[in-house]
Amino acid sequence: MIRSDEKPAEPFVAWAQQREAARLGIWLFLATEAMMFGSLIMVAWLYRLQHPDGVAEAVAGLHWQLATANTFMLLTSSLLMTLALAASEQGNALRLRRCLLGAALLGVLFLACKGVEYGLEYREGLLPGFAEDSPLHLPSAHLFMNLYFIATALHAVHVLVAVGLGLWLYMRLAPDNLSARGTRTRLEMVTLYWHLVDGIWILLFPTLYLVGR
Amino acid sequence: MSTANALKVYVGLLLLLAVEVLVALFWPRNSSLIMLAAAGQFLLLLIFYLGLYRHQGWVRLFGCLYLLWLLMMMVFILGETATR
Repeated sequence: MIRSDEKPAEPFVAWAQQREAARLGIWLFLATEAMMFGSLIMVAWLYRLQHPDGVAEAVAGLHWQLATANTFMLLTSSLLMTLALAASEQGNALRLRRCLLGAALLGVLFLACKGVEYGLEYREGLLPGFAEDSPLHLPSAHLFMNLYFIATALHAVHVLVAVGLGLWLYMRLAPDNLSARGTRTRLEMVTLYWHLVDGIWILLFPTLYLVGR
Repeated sequence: MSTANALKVYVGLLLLLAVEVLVALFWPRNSSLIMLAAAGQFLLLLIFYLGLYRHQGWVRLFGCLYLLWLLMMMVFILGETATR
């Protein structure tokens, strides 16, 4: 069997060096993600400060129960990714694959639940740009819904990417065509990304759904 | 991170989620408590799942930058609540 990554990739001379470079790259990438979503969260809070009535009207129409279920699913998927990393350290390939698949399935469930939520909001006339007779009266409520939609849709795209990465890793592991070191580095990077997507949701959830109900 | 420790962190995350939801349901005016619970969740995730506790150098530096960002948000949010 040809194992393409038994040696570190060019120009690295050692696995430790390659792993350090990968870590630096992913943390730099995560920093840009944190800045982007951090700005959106700050805008949401500034909006709350300036237009409390409009925000309260918009927040009252959101489906916080579905969002709570989504939070539970993302937290559980983060646990499974951590367990996958632990299984990789222990050399337990079967458990590693099961954890990866479980996390990816929870990510898909999150997206499905988000789709149901958007569907409900569409029917209730809450989604911006889709309803002629929206139940929201204040212009600031409409603007908050725009912000809600942008923030949650952008986050959903990130979850979709995380699910794709998880499934890609799962499939690469299936025929055992990754070396142990290659697997470890890739898994660590995907896990870090997954945790950040979870961390962003942890802050988005109360900011958009819970505060000011 | 060991399986037992990962489960402990998970339980902590779920407890904080329960705190957030219960406060939002029964004490909706207490928004700072909701955000403090969310900040606690973010801290748990950053320190244990993202692995800030076991890394040195620039990984720790990035982690501290995230924490500073979180602190700034908390100051802003608590200020907003106090001046509402």
